[in-house]
Amino acid sequence: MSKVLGSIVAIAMLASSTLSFAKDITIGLSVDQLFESRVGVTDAIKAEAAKQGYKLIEVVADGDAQTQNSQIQSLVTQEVDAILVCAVDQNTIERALIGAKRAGIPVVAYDRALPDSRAVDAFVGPDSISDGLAAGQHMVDQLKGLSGDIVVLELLGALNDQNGIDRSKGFNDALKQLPNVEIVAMPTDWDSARALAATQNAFQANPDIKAVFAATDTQIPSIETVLTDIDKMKSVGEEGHVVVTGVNGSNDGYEATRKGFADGIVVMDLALTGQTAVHLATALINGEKVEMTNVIPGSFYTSENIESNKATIWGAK
Amino acid sequence: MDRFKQTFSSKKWLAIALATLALGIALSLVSTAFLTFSNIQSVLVQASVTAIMAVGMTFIILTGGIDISMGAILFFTSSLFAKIMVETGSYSMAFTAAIGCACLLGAVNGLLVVRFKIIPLITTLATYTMYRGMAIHLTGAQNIPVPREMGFLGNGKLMGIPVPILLLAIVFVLGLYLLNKTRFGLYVKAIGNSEQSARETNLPVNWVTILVYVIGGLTTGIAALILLARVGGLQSGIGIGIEFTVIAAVVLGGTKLSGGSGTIVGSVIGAVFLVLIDNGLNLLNASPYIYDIVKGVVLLAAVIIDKVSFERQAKHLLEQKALRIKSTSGVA
Amino acid sequence: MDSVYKAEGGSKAKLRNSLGALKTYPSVPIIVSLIIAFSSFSPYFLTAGNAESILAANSVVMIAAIGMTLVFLTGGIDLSISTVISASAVVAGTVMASTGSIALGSAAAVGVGLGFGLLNGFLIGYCGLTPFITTMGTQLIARGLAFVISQGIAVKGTPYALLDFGFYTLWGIPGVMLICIAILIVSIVGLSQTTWGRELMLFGSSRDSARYTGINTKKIELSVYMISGVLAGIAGMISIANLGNAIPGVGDTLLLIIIGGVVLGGTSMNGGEGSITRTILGVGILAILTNGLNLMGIPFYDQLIIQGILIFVGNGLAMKLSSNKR
Repeated sequence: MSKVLGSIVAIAMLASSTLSFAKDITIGLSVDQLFESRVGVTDAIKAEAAKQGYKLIEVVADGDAQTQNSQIQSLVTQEVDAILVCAVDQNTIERALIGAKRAGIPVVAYDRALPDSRAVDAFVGPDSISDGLAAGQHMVDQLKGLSGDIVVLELLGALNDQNGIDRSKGFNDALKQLPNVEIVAMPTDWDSARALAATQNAFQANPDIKAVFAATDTQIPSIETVLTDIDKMKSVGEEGHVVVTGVNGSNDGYEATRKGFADGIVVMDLALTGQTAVHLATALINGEKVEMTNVIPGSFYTSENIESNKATIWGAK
Repeated sequence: MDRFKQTFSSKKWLAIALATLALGIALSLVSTAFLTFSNIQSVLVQASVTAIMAVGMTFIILTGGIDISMGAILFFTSSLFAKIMVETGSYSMAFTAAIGCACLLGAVNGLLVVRFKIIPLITTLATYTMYRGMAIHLTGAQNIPVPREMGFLGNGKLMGIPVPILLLAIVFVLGLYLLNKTRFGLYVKAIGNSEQSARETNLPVNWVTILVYVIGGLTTGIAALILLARVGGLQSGIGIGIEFTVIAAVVLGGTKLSGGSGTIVGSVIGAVFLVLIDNGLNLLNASPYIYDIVKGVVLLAAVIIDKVSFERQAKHLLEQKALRIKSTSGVA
Repeated sequence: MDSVYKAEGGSKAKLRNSLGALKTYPSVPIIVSLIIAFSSFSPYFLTAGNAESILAANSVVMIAAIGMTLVFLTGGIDLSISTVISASAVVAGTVMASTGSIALGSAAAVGVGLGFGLLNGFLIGYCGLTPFITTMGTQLIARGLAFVISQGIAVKGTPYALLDFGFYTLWGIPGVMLICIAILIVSIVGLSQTTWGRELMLFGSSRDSARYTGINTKKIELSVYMISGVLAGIAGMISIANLGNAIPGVGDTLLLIIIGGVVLGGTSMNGGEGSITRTILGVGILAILTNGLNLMGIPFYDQLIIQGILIFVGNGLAMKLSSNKR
């Protein structure tokens, strides 16, 4: 009798301590900037944190490194139990993170890796090199049969964004398989209006561009605009179609691929990234050892299979 | 010949027109892709957004004011339009709301400037921050696509002419008429020349001031819809920062920031000129970071040349005056 | 002579004086009320750690705001301040990465700032160009320079000594803020006690009178832009200490914060009205506001709205009160 009572008490104590433990946990979420795919990850983080019963403090740095620094310091002051951070610029917030480390707060970097940091305990994010590679590979498969010199337009993201740099690297690696290809690279700073202008001008200078790679698929509508302008708007499979691939997984990319304008996009798994970030934080708070690098490669979908996979695409509405 | 020279040099937009021509010639020599019909057309279409806004900005600067919140107005207008479109599917609602809102935001700027007498730069700095915050609040930083058909506004052609260029032409003509052929236009320039005297001569300074900011808002609203159509939907931060390009276009076009002197023709050519620089650098495959340096140098050069020619003109006028006095006194 | 002014001693005069001071510095009660409000909302607000982070983060803005204040006092504006901060930081970072010398890095930063300052000052003071457009042009050039040299990526290789300095505190005050305070003292004294300072204020209130009294107006204008540039250079170095690296875009978002702070404090863009003390308060208000709102968990887009309203109200209030004073 007393044994049963004892275990009931033990379980109750465990339950209540877990409850109170969960109630006590506050996660500090430092976001670099609010835009569509970032919101996708932060929403996933918020959902998972809510599920775990954590309190969440969100701060947004609006693209300013200094602001992010002080915001992280503010999180440290507020004695959060863990910090999830996506850095404005992967090199900028070291000071604040070291402050966190000194205060004993575990730090999980998400989406942007901080390889040189002395304070980050774990990273979860996309495998941008493999994402770029996948998009490039599909492009190569489409262009393989063509003879003569092939000109390809690459719309670069922001040149100080590691994900943009890595996507470009993967893409270029894939294109090495084609012997006679020339890649025209134009920077867009992730801005669609600039992508529009860059694409327009690129096609002016090289009317015979056979393929376009967009580092973010939100720029695909701009590509559509230009191709319509110059009467080169042909769907997948049609004669004269310009191969278009991209990385991200937004609604723009989804729609363009579904309708057969774009050949395919790499969809990042934002939900899993968000969940994993919170799980890593939980593990670190509990003092467990975690893997330092947790990359989540995206999935490549073509116009054929994208609609059936709609549920897994974060941007698809 | 002197008469000819005089009328020509009194055209304030001459300098920028010549500069644009020179740049065009230089680019066509350097790149074969430049002087094609489709490239020129593409330059004009690209310039349409800033050029339309420049027309509105000209009115504001002519009164001696300035509006650095235009980019935020663009951002908010686009956000509002996209949101209404996606929630109601009604074009008429979205269009009216967007244009109406753009005018309203402009009116708020004007009202604040007139009522509180805080200089326009500070007022519009404050409203820039506010409008931007409101826009992000409205959409939660989401990208919202706009329907396919909307693309017509940005990419379509009417009678063979791209829609944006047509819209620019309409705004341009209306602006010219308003500025040069109406009393309103006269008042605008009078206020810019001296607000004090304008008030003393009982001009409706307050109303005119509010109205120019409304015009600024209206042109921004139109530009917002074109840009929205061209990029396919609301993208984060769309339009933020564009006001500096617009101001540069207006100043390059020969309008003085102190007010009272300037032309709409100059502002539009100025907008085209800036796009030409981008276009040229793109065609030349220039390093992405050179763009800013080139634009900065060009801007400085333009202002210096303008100042030098102004001084020379002033000197010339003084000399002529002196000559006339000399000759008349000589005869007497 | 002095005795005439000292005749009214006693507590009544003292009260009148302090109320008069309030009028000159309307920001003080605003700051006090903000502090009270925020500390009641969040237990973390009035902590040493929080104060430290506010001070350190705003040292860059504060130093640049001093330069901007001086420029405003002459009736001008310096839009290039923000990107000159970036350019100086990048050049300094590159120099330090290859030489390992903080001294050389600092010299480089100041050199870049001085260079742009000279360019601005020459074009505006001697060639008579409009400050707005001129500094818009140099802003673009500085930005391009920062990105070309760094190729868009943060410049690594900061000497450890500089990084450690970023953590250094004396009696709870971050080292970077101490530098800022030193500059503040020098500039306040310079502005109020030297001939140069007085000529500056006169020039700002009325260019014509300044010229008639024989003041070399061109030199004054040149000097303020030069100082603004040098201060931007120093701010650039401080940003490296704060962030650990030189970021090519570090200054981009700062321009509006700097102008907002100076404006909020009550320095007029028309010239002749204002002071560095006002700027300290203005920057302080913005800093405390941002920090407090963050602690309250207010989403950042709502923070923008509040900031905008505050800048507008603050400036209006300050202008009205100081014009009433006359």
